[in-house]
Amino acid sequence: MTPWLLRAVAAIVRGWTTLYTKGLAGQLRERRREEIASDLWHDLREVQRQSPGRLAAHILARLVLGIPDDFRWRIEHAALARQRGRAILIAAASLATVGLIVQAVRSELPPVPGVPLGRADFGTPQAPPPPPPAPSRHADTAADPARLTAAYGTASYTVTADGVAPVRIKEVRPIYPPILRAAAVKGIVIVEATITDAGRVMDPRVVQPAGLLTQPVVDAIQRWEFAPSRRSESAGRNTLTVSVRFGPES
Amino acid sequence: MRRKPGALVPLEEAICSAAAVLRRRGIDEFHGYELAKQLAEDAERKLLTAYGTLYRALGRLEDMGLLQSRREDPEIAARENRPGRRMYTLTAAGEIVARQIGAHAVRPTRTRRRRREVTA
Repeated sequence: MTPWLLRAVAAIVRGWTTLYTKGLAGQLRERRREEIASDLWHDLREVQRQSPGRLAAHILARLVLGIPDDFRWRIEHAALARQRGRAILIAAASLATVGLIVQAVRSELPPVPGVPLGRADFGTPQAPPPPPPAPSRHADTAADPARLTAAYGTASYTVTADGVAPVRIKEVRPIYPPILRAAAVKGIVIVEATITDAGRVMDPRVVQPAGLLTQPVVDAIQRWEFAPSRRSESAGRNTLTVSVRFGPES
Repeated sequence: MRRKPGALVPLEEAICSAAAVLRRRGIDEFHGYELAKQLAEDAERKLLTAYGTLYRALGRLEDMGLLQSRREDPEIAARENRPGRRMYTLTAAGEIVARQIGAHAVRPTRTRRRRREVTA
């Protein structure tokens, strides 16, 4: 049977939590209330080891000292909810506007040659579309991603090992996707992985992603190979950390 | 004082370190109270971290990708007749941060692990 003092203090904690989470989104609100309820339950079990008065003071201290952070958390999430709401409204309005513009423009566009307009055009031979112009030798390659030569990120790596670090025997360079290079998208991707005794790279874990630049790094390092470890050298786990920089100079 | 984006405050660093300690003890997943006990043990104090402070910091670390969380199976909580828990675990990025914090805090006199840095 929990002493009345502890029941009162627990009610204060629950009441305060209910108050400062009021009005927030359901999932967020319920998550916070559940976490505090669970923590409080564990605190109250300490009555087996502490006097009720001391424990009540402990719980009240945990409550009061955290109130400023409760306020800050509430403000952060209320602001986020308002921003999300605004963002959703703007996105919906933009999509609707784009849809209307597309509809209006389509109705004004002339028919596309070679595309049958209706039943009357079946069987009527259509003039073949004109051949595409020959590409100019002086075309700007930066404007045409399909014409870019292959480029790669600049990789550096470390191997952390308990025994002798395995030596890399096969490297596959991470491709810098042409379309991202054309758009001058840059970034640094860091991936960790495990090197098995057979020298294979397994279990890649992205430490620092960089959007669409991340997957080429993961794909490349899984094809790296290291010299197999001899039994005497293999004392534990070999960890590979790869950092790849993508930039206009890659 | 406004914090720099991506910077950790001392409590958040302490949480990453405490999570790494729990992991070394075989506890991969922990709940808030368990973490608060570890924090108090590490700091050698009796008063656990305040509710609001602890759970706000855990939320921030999750947003930064250093922790991830999941809701415990409600059946487990119902069976044990207690409220449900949210279980947290250190991500790969969180482990690296915890290691960096540990490296700054403690200077080992001897290490068996070798590092080789290579630029391709």
